[in-house]
Amino acid sequence: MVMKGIKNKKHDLKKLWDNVVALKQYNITLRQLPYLIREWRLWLQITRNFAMIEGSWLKGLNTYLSIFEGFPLPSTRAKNKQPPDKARPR
Amino acid sequence: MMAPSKTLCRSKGKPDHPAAGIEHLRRFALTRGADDAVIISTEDVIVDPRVRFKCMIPKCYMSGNCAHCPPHGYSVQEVREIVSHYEWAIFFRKKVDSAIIAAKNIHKAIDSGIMDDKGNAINLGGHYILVFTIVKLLQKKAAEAGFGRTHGFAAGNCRDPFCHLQPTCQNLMTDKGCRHPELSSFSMESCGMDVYRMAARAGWDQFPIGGTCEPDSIPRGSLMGLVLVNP
Repeated sequence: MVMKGIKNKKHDLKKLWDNVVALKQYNITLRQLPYLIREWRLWLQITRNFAMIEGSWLKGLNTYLSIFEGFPLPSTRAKNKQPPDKARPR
Repeated sequence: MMAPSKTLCRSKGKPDHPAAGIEHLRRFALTRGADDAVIISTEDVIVDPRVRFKCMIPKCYMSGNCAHCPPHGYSVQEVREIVSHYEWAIFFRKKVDSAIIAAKNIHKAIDSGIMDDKGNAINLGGHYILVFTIVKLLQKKAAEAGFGRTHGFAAGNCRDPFCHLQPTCQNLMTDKGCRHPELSSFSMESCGMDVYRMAARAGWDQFPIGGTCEPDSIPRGSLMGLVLVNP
């Protein structure tokens, strides 16, 4: 049970890290925040519409966050992967 | 010269008349973020095969990469068939500031998928998301109001606004299906609807935006959506 919990947490952390890397790769950073705040009416309306579609604000916010879920680009994944240890005897 | 039709039906006749309920839906679209909305007869929904081919020749970057973009989706014949089963449609538009939709490097950002520092691409995505949500809310509201089956069409592809950070369209590439089936829908143009002509019939000004368009050269852009309803 405990091991399962730890495994789940590890999986969640990996997902979160993947998200952060993906956001950075697609240049979605805090630099754009002032420009997004300028269009706050649009984003508020979207949130209200999501809440109405889903039936509750919490589910609406969940949908909102799911838009920003992602995976790192394949090239970076390959870069992050450790090269095989050739020196190690098989 | 265009033939007169029952395009802008704003009938306030009998309360039990179907148009009264549809008028309620039109007003609802305005409260949910649409800038203009009209009720049109489905005779005024113009389906032209050339519009659908425009997505494929020359090939749009999303053509074939999204389950809701050509060559996937309905054929022009199917769209004509679907439209013919409806009597009315709610046609709405969301105006987009030219500084966003015709921003200097917006095409580069859209093609590469890498957002610009000025946030224009993200804000443009927000406008597209709003159109998708209005379509879905109209469908939901119509179902609650007792209208039968409805059919909604939004603007642009659904992959960029909803699954931008995903490597592929899950609906196409995996067995999991669409990530946002409750939000995504086909766009009007991918189904061959001639949005420009329909907007002109509704009396809305249109400014086509090309790759070399400068923000100062156009007053604004528009994103449009359509929901077919049957009383």
